[in-house]
Amino acid sequence: MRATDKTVNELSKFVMDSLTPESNEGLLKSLTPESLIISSFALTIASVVAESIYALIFLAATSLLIAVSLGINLRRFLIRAYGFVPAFTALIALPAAFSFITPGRPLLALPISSWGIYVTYEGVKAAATLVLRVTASVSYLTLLTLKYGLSNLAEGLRKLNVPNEFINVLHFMLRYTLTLSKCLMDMIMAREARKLGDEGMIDYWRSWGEGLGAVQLKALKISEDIYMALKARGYGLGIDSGGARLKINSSLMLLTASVIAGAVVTSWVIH
Amino acid sequence: MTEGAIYSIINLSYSYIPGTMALQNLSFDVDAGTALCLLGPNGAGKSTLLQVLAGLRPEYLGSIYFMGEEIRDILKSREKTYDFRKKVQILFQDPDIQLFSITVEKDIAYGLEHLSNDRETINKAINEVLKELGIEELRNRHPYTLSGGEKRIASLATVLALRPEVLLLDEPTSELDLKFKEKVLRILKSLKEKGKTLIIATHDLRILKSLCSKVALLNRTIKALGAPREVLSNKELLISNDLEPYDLRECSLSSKQ
Repeated sequence: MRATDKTVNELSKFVMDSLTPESNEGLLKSLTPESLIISSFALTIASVVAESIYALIFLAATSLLIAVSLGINLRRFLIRAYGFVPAFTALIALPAAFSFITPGRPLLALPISSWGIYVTYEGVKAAATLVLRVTASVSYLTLLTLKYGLSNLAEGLRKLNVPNEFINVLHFMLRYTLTLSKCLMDMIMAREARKLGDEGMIDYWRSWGEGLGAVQLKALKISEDIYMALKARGYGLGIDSGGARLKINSSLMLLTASVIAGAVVTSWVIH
Repeated sequence: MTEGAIYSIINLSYSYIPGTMALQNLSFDVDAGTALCLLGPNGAGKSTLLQVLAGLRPEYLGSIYFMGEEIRDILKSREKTYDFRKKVQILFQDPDIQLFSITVEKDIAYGLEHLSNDRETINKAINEVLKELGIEELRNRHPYTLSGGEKRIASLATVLALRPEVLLLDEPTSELDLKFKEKVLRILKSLKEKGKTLIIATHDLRILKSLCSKVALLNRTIKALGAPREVLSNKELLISNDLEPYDLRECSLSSKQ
């Protein structure tokens, strides 16, 4: 299987995995999706505004603690939150460590130091801050998807009075990413079944392009038909009970207030 | 327009691409309480006709009267459209179109919520339809994880839950195994007995022989319209419209049953 086939396969596997919650165990098992959305949102904001490396380390470590309390499989959490995205960010942030991007106090001399290129203290700090900030932010979002699954999270957003149209678009996106990626993979499989011998790179990319074009046309047809199916069942008539809405109770208020206050205080005090 | 007709179709034409007619000059009535089967080869316009009758493709030529009122006029008024949607429901040929929510339960609830029922009624309707179709175990399943047959039966549930007066069904038994086919047939029969109007695009002989009161042979235009035996016994007509002749002995046996 070539890289592109694998990417589409992995994408649909990822969406499929993310649809369903991973655990119903842990100390905080009774936490509702909407409470965790609010908490994670507050902690993500804190990760974005925090300037200090220590604050960011603390925030990233807190996500680990919350993951354990929520009964999330730590290995999966670490791979998702501390794997690809931080590594990719580190790669992007790497040039910032050098003196030609971030001038400052020399931290590490290089064989090319005679050209005036070396690793600076300020540069490493800037790169580390970015990587930690991304790691902390991603880890809180990962908590959400692993604990509740994307579907339940979307329902949590509904309870937070997010407009139904937005939630429906989210559901459609999840639902039809799966359907269309399966359609694309079936096309690739059908192509493989009819293929004799090895295919050159250009032919491979050409058939992928044709497959994507066919899927795009199918997506257009599907979107038109779905709109009709929605209309047939009353969409656009302006009547929608929309399901249960968030009931603001004292414990939720307290939780939200403490999380926001805690996140902001932690971030600023450590800084 | 005949009295008692739920649909009166006069010179109906529909075109997707200018110059190519998907439906051409159709004129016929559908009486309330009848089960009309639409028979025709691939690309004959069966699905298009059902979508036009459901008020989903209002850009047709000619006239369609639903209970005496032009569908285009109905669609101009929100109140009338609301009543129309409550009375008329359509089952699409592709269940992936019908099942767009995250669980089967939410898909069934979608129409009920949009047609303004209270939560208790919605839950009751969901429980009833799941029980009626024997698919309670599918309630919390994501549509993507269902098999072809399960998707088909779940999509039927989304329509039946609304208890419409008119059901427009596009191949309701395709992809179903014998057990589910019989269940669907039994439900459709009971709906017919309750006086509901059924318009069904199908090639299923079991539906044709035991449910339909009328068969329309459609191939862009109406080639024949009449009692099932009358239309199905015309082998030349069926073959000339790319359809396999049906075994009429099976039909006669079933009519005795």
